[in-house]
Amino acid sequence: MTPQAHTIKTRIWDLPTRLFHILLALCVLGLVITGGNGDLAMTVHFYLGYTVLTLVFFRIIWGIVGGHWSRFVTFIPSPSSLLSYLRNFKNPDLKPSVGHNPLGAISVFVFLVVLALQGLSGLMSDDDISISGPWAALVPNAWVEFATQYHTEIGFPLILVLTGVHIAAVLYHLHAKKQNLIVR
Amino acid sequence: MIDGDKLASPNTPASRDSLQTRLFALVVVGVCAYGVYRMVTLSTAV
Repeated sequence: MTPQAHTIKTRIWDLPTRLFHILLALCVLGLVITGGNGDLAMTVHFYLGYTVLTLVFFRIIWGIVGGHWSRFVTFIPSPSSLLSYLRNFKNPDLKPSVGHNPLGAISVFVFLVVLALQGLSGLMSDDDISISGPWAALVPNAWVEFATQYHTEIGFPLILVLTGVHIAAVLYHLHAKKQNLIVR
Repeated sequence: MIDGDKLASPNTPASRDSLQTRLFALVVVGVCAYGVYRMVTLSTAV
């Protein structure tokens, strides 16, 4: 009897969660391309940023009221589950996680926090030439300076690194563990 | 993540993914978009 005889096809990722993931990836790609590339591109950058903030807020709410496997309570990793996962990371007999594995779960939370910070800092940013976020005139200059520096020098490279690690992890699962996380 | 279905043991709970839950998600997105709209238009309201 094959292992698949004990399993049935089960809906894990609901459509809203899948669309969220695809739209977020497209928006982040668009934001990277349009960031700091002239007035027209920056207009697109602003709207993509607003879309990312919308998606992040949606995912936070969906993490409370969404489908079973999209809810935060189903994948918040405990320290012991994380340690156990890391210890058995290369074990070929380790059963794949149904929802997010503990490392993937941490990446979800990190991405949500970093993207929210990036969006909020963008609202307060000002390049001192022609582009300023809608909150730049509302907050003290010190906040604007800090937000602008964070947005361009910390948040942006951090998102690039996180995205790179995320893609590397997906490719690792695909090649080393034969788990296609892109499709399932 | 594209397909959404996985092979799992029969006692694994499935995520609800009906027309109702999808419409509900659309409402949540609308609320979030409105919230962001209000956030970014704060400067025009002040």
